[in-house]
Amino acid sequence: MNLKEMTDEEIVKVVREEDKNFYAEIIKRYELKLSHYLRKFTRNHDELDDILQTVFLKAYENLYGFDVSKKFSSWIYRIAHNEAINQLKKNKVKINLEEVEYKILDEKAGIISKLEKKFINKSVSEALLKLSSKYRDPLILYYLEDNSYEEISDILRINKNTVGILIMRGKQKLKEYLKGKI
Amino acid sequence: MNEKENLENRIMNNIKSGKVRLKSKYIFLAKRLSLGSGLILTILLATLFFNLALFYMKETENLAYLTFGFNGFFAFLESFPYVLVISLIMLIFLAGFLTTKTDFSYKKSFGEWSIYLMIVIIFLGTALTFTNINNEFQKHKMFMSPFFEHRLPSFRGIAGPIVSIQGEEIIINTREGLEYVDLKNIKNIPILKENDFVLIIGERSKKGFLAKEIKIEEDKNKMFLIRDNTKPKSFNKNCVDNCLIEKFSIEDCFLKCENLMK
Repeated sequence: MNLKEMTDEEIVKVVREEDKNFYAEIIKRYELKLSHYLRKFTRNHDELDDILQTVFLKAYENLYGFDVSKKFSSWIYRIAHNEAINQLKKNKVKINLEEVEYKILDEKAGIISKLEKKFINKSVSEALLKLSSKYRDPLILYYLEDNSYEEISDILRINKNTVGILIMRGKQKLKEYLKGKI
Repeated sequence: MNEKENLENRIMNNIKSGKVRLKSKYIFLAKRLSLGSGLILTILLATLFFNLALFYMKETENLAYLTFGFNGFFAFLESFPYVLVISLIMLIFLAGFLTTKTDFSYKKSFGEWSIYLMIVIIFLGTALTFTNINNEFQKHKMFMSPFFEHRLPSFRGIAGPIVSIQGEEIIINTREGLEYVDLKNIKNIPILKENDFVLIIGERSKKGFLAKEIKIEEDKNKMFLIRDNTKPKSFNKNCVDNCLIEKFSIEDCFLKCENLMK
């Protein structure tokens, strides 16, 4: 079978039982996605690189712990999320969004579309920092990482309905904060 | 591009060189099995304890004290199976904790899962009380004994068969041993005879137990845990009878026979 056509779960099966070299394909598929996600937690390039390496090595070590009937992407995102949280705790740094990401968040979530755009970046940034990770993580995973409710449920290990509620409340909290700010 | 290759190469070199290995599938299998079996065992134990608590309340004087109204409430509290209920609550918390470690825990909300858990425990626990299992436990002194023997001391209520009557004073054989009971404060004392199983509420006095109310339990099938757990060995009927013939007071006879027993 063509490697490119194989699903992540099929590749995992091969890595576990037949050929560990296939793991390179997993790295290729997720390196960009995960580094994009992890960049929200650190801007330090070396640190990001270290976390990414740790994530892939941990994922490899624990590959038999993955249930192939489930989505691999959610599983590896969860490892990355946990590593990022550990890093945040260790370094006491704050969440980090790029300018373009604030705009994406604003556009997709329709948070401050009618408000003064010149304040957008700074205000959304401040508002996000004010949000607890309980609301912030689902917002980021949904609007910036394009994960579905089901995937977010698997990554954060919370109920699917709760994901929806947290995103809705997170948006409301952001709006409330921005209304008061601008 | 170089960075990408670097990361990929670094990781693959670690893997190929054997520095990083796949953890054995049996480790994960053992983890899953121990978590699953631990959860099932905890739920089964919680079910069993719920059943035992129901059985205890039904087959001892505990619930019957409530028939005395407010006066019986404190006796009810005194004889309540706290150890069983606390063990049950701890098992439910343990089951909840173990559930959060499973993969399916977050698929349902915690509230929903708690409701399911409680329904299973209540339904199966109640169903168990209708089986013969508790009688078997009792027969083989399993499970029930530690909970039954570690009750609070009886200050407000006692129960057991009458072993001796003299006017307004009686001796009953409770599960804690012989008890001297003074009935003088009861306005209408029912007609009592030896071996009547009685429930009494009142309070402790220097002499023994000062009764406020007394009821005879006619149904011989009820409260068999008390009937089975009274201490016949501690009762020396000849001693009490001979003592009474010698015109000692029942209280003195009680003390004398208790001393003999020791």
